[in-house]
Amino acid sequence: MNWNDWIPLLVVITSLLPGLIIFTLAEDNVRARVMLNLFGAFAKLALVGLMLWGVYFGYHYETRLPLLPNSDLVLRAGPLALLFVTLSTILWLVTTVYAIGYLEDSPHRSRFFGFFSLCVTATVGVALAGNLITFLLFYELLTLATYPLIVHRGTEEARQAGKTYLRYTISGGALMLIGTVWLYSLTGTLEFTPKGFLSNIGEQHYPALIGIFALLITGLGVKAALVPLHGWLPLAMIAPAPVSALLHAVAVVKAGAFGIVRVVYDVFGVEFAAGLGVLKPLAWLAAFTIIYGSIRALFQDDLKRRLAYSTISQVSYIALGVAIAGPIATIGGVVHLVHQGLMKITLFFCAGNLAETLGIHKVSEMNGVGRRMPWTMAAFTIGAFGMIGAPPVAGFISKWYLGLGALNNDQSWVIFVLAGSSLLNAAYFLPILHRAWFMPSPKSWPHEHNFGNKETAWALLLPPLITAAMALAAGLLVTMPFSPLEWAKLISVREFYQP
Amino acid sequence: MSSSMYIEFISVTLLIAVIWPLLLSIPPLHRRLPWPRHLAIIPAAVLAVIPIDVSFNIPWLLYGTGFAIDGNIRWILGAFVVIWFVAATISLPTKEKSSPDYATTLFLLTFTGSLGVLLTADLVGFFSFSTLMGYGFYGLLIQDGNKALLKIGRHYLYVLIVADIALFEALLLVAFTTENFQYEMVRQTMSEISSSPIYLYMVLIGFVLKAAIWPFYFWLTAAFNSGSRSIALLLIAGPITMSLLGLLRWMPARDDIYILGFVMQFIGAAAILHSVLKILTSGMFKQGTRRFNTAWLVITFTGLFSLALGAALQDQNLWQQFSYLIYPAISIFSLLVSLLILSSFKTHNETVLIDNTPVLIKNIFHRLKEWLCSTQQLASAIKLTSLTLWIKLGSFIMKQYQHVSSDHKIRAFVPDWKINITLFLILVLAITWLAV
Repeated sequence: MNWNDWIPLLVVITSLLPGLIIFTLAEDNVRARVMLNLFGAFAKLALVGLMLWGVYFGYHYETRLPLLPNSDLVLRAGPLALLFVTLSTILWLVTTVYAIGYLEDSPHRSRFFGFFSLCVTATVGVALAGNLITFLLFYELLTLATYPLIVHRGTEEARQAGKTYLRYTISGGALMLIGTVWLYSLTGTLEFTPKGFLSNIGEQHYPALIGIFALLITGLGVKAALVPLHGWLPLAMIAPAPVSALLHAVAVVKAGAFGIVRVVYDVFGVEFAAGLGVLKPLAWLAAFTIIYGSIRALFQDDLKRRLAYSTISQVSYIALGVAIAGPIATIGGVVHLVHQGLMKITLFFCAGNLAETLGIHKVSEMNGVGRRMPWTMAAFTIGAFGMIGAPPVAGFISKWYLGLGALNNDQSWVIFVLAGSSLLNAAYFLPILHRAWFMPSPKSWPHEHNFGNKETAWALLLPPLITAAMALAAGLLVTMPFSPLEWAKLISVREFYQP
Repeated sequence: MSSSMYIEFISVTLLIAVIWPLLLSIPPLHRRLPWPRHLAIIPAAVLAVIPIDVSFNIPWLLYGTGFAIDGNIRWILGAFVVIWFVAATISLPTKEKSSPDYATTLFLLTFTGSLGVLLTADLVGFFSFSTLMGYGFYGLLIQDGNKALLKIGRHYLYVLIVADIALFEALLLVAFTTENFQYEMVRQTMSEISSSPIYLYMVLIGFVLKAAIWPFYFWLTAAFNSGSRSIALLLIAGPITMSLLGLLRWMPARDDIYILGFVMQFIGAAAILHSVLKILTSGMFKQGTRRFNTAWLVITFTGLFSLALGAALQDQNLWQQFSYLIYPAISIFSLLVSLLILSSFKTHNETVLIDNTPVLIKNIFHRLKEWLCSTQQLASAIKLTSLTLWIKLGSFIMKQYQHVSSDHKIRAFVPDWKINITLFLILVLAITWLAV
């Protein structure tokens, strides 16, 4: 093994090791905890930057360690894996800064940051997994690492949400495990391969493959919050804002959506899956989830709950892009993995700022908040317009490619789904913006904290401004090299639709 | 200066003209400068007076969006600069430095959007800037908290959303055909492909809504009745003029679309007839009816525009002979209407005629919706199952929203979404009909 072969493992270790050390730190050892967190985040960022550069120019990074007989633990940095790893790494750094500000003076911070780092470790592992068994391993670690974050507040409501989360995700994990074992018994391999590894299998096994596909997608659909497997997500918004940001934009739902991409493209192969007839039901399910999530979001007065239903809707764009099949829709789905992350994390950061600074938790409490917290609401506005799909924010690019991909694949009905979704997104985001910017402010806010003449603490304000700027840049500078769209095109050419 | 230096100077000015007002819209920046609204207009004014044509592309937005200026655009730009300058002067912000001046932010965002629409060289840029213009103008319309304007703002917002969805669909159809989004290329390409009628109808729906062309003028008359002089001026220099320009630029160059040509001519004729009747019956020269009549004059002009475009869609020769007149006509029209606005909006106490059009339009939509719901058989006959689903979904949303929301303001806001959803349904109906 040469130096390059160790880099994927190092990327995992850069958050695992700080996380394990943070568990042992005393509660008041703030400086060491902050240093460890930031050191880990920056080290990971540097390594990921190195791999991005290398992969772009054709280098190969793969760590292979013995795990089970005939099945290694494989960490491989291909273009698709790096897209997700880069997203996780950048947003982890930003979320760490935010969490430091958000949890200042609150109890159990060592426990929180320890699990926070483990959660990112698991996400990066999911992204880099080179076979289904490695994927499953990190996928389950993610479940276990996020549970303590969801119940962090320790309230009865948080515990109930945690229980529901465990019930859903462990059941999903069990289904995945069954599907994985069944697949292994049929094929003898679980290695992710461009265009899949099932095309040579005999026709007599097709019913079994359909069953395996159903098991895997159901297992992944729990974390990706596909309806009717979404029940845990709106409840989990009880967690602190940095955790919600992590769940909705970086880790859990993204791991599910990413897994769907992996199963369709690198296990079954998109053409083989289409031949089996399993992609159409997936497309319908994703389309239904998009509309259902948006309709449910309309009725929520709780801001984080509204955002949670919005996530259910938006993450299904990724599944829809994959299920439409074809290079253009795939670009739309894959790039939305990044775009949704940037926009949704902005919205959750802003929701956290409103809660932490003014005690605002409900949409109906947001009248005139734009005048009190203009920068926070400016970031929120960019995120919301992105979700609607207004140019030049990143969401426009995703919808563009999904729509175009649908037209190219003779699936015009998807256009109506996208249009309906945009309309519904506007219906639940624009009233928020209207209230915040154009309604008169109340005489007092629910629980206002004093930050002097500042809008809020810098550690809380900077992260949403950075992510909002990134969401804007991802749409505005879309033709630049290394933009998410250009990288998604690279994925499409190199991994999914190579000649 | 040599000619190449002139071209470079104009190119840089062109870019600055769009970026400068966008930068100035950031409150901490414009608060520190005197007369920021006027300062923002200066580069555009420079462009309007230097008669050099330039165009260039920059690597941003989808496919890389360019800017261009030529003699035709300069006609509109000249009027545009004058009107925005006057609007900036008559709507100066308060001198209070303590509170943030969001009116200036919104003014500058709308200005950037409108200017971008005017100067951009392709459809993606046009769409992006027109979205900025639309939402900026919405903010400008409702920012002073006037209840009547809030209601108009909501109607405008619904129109904007549906129009943007229609234009987005049109853009996708273009992207399906070509990767070159420059106006001339799109006009040529879309005139040669079979899906161009759908594209045409999408464009028509989008811009008829945005330009308040008859019969979707209800928000325009209401805005003229309730808004200030500056709002009326910006409405002319922004959404109306730019949407007419959009119709010109997005329409494909083909002359075999008789039905659409006929539809546009019918719309134009109906608009003119309706406007003339309205103006005559309101008492043409009476004090207190000037705002009302100015609004109807705008509708008359958009009707004329529609009539001319309809004729051009039926006969391209006609278009080639007279198209050079369109830009000066739009320019002169916007200046004349601005003069009328300045003279007719002098007093705040003038009597405002109540126009019941919004109610009528709502009733028409409501009836249409009821009719569509009740004709299940017809729907299935023409394969409109999906439409019925949408209708039920719309009703479901209304019901749920009214039940669940405890906040009466949300509740008051929601029933108006009926218009929005109904417009969307009409869009779906149109596409389904075309597809069938």
